[in-house]
Order: sequence, then structure tokens, then C-alpha cells
Amino acid sequence: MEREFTPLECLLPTGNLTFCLLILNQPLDKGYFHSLWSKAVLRACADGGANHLYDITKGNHERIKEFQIGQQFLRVGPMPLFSSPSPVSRCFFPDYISGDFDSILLEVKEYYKVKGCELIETPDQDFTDFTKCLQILQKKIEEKGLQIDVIVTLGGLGGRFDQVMASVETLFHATNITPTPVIVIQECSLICLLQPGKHKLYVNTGLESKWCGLIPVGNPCDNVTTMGLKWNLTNHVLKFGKLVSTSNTYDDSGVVTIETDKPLLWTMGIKNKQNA
Amino acid sequence: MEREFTPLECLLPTGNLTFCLLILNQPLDKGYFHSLWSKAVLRACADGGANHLYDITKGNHERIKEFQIGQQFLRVGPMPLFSSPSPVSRCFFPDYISGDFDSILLEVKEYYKVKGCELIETPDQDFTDFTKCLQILQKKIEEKGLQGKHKLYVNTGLESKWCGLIPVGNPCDNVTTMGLKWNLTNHVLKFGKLVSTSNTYDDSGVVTIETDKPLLWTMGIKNKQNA
Repeated sequence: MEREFTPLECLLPTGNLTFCLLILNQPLDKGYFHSLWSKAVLRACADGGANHLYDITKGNHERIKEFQIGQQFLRVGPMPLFSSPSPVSRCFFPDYISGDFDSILLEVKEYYKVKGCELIETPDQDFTDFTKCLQILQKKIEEKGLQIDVIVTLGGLGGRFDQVMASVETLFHATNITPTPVIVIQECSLICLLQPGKHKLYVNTGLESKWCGLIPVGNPCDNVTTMGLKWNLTNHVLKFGKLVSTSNTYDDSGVVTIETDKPLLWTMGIKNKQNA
Repeated sequence: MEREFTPLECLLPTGNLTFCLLILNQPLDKGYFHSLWSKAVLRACADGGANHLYDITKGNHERIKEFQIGQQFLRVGPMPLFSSPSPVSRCFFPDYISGDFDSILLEVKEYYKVKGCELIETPDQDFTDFTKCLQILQKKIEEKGLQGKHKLYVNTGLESKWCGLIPVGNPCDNVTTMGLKWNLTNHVLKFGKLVSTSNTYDDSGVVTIETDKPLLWTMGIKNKQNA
């Protein structure tokens, strides 16, 4: 059975895609954030992801302090955590924030707690915050009886290299957690893990930048065949130390088909929103 | 045979380490760059790495243009490619620059060519610029095997607290470690089963790793101001 999907469909301003949004502990890209937030049916933060949500939505506008000095009052205005002021919105509350809470700032945690967001502590050190957040998300999807097309994860591809690898590891576990495809997006990159079998990817949204790749992370793939790429594979072995497809690009068809015998990581570039 | 090394030793201001420096196409971190450059015995750039070397060493200071407007001359000073001005040095010429030259800027390539740097074009599209640059480097230095027993000294003071063991590309069926907070004993490391991330050190200052297959070690480096 061939699985079809359009990786960047969630970034289109229009469309009928039903998706959940999961925010990890990396700076948020302003380009697509608001569009993704407004269209998601469920929104969650994994631990320190809440810090970045708080900052990009200026959650701290209400922390205006007053000091009495003699007869005068000195008002100290909002102090952004990371970036410069922007209009305040009260509509950016996640459905829940989960994690072992070693990254979320105390004031951020308190802020969302006071606002009534569900805080779910998941102390288990055998799994990452991302994995545990995904487990909770799947429970909520089932509880609400939602039909979800894709789970969109923001962050996970920048900063510490071990954390990037941990994101990839979560994609391996995701197949046992949820039947819904999971994609991870940060800056100009997207990754998703293709399970053994046939896949048809539509890459004609206009938001694709020109590079893409097929990365045999974790295991060699002994039999990979593609169409729609500039450098296609025909029953090729993909293996670190032998052949890894990087800096690949598309032909003009707008469709990429990939057949693989083992899990294979697909990665592609996303145009900067101003250039899209 | 056990291989010992101190991953961050090259960043120490003192020491007798003999090493080569290879610069790829990413912004250079100013914190350690000058120290690394001055101590390396061989220095190379892979394609666009030369752009970043040029910029961080202000190779373009000589491009001061003069325009005559009437009786006056207008001098246009150095225009940095990416960052703000710093003192010029003429000592930052790599031993060679290799690659398919699709990233190096024409003016940068010309600059280093005029200065006598070796430019080695490697058009083969089956390998990255990094790989090909390393092949050229490997002709001058001796290659050591990577599998087996390893002893890593992590007591330079420059280590930040995280580290990891990543079985990229293949499972490792038998990994044993000491010196980590979460050690492994004949463990399997495999994506989908177990990948060691967010690990950290015990107080010994030494990590030993025995692996049966190639295994990627990764660790954090303190920001230079905090080191």
C-alpha cells in the first residue's frame, strides 16, 4: 500500500488539513508560527517549549511592576525574555504543557498555570520530553475522537547535537505511539521518518526550497528506489560509510516516490516565508 | 588496543597537540578560532569555508576603492562580507582550498589564488567537499582506526555537562562504558531501541568506551566566556 502525503501542506495558508502542533525547546520561527497555531486543533508544549511560546506571544505583558519612591510611582514595563516587544495576545494558551520541567522557567510555568493550562509532569528519564509529550497527545486525540492527518512538531533540529539525535530517536518510537505521521520542522529544515514500503510525496506547494535528502539513520537500507529526484536511486543500498543521499534535489514532476525496505529519514528544505 | 584521547585538548591555550585544521562552509566561532589557527600544522578550507576564513580574517582589507569625483577622491573602505571590522592580518592563508567551487565566492577564490594558496578542484559529485578535503589531508597524515577501545579525557575544564553516544548508520551490538552518569554494559545501541543522549559525566574526568561498531561520540563545549 502506498502512502501519499504533502509534507509542507500544513504551512499553506489555505487547506483542510487537520493537525496537532507540538512545540519543543528551540527558538520558534516567526514565519509560519501564527498560521500553524491558528489552524491546529490541539497545541502542546514539551517543557522548555513553553518558554519560547511565552516569549513569541509576549505572555508576560501583565507583569508590570510598581515601585513607590517618595510621592512618585515608578512603573517598570514588560521585560521580554529573549526578544523585542510585539502586540500582546491572550489567545496563545496551549492545551497542555508536559515534561520533567527542568527547562521551563518558573515564571513561565506559573503564568500558564494561573491561566488554567494543564501541566502534566512526566519525570521518566528513560524517554525524552518529546516522546512523552507525543504519548499524551495521542491519548487526547483518542479521548476527543479526532481524525488527525499529521502531527507537526516545531523545534528539535537545532542547538545541541545530542538533542537533534534524540528528536530522530523519538520519530522511531512514534510509530509505536501513534498511527499519525509526525513531522519535525525548524528553520529551513523538515524531517520525517519513512517506514518500510512505498511513499508518494507531493512537493509542489511552492514552499519547497531546492534541497532534499534520504538519510539511513540507525540502520542501512538495502533496497531503495526513488523517482522524482534529480539523482534517483534504483535498488540502491543507503548506508553511512557507503552512500547517503544529501544535497539532492527535484525534477520538474512535483512528486517524489520512495520505496524502502527499512526505516529511512526524509529531509527537505522549506523556503523562508518572505521568499515563498 | 585502546585508543586514548582528550577531545577538547585542541582548544586549550597550551599543550603539545599536533593537529590539522579543516574549515567547512559555516560561520566560524570567534571564541576558539585564532588559537586553533595558530597551533595547527596544516590548515585547509573546503569550498565555501574559504568565504568564512576570508571574512573573519578581513582578507579584503586591500579592496579599498577610489573614485574620482571632480577634484576630490572618495575612498571606499573595506566592506565586510558578514561581520564587523577587526584588525587585518596577512597570516591567514590556508595550505589549500579544495572543493567543487560552487560555494566559494569568485573574489575570495581570486584573492587566495593571487596570494599563492593551492586551489584543488574536486568536481566528483559522489562525495561531499568535506570528504574530498579529508582525502587530500589524509595523504599527508597517518590514519588511525576508530573501532575498539577508547579512553577520552574530559577534564580540560572546557567541557559542558552533556554528552551522547549515537549509533548513526548502524546498530552497535555491544557497547560498554565507564565514566558516564548512565553507563552501558554490553548494551545494544540502536535507533528505536536505545540512543544515549543527555548523558553526563561522573567525577573521574575520564570516559572509556568499548564498541563493536562505529559509534558517534558527541559532547558539549563551554562557551569561551564561561570556560
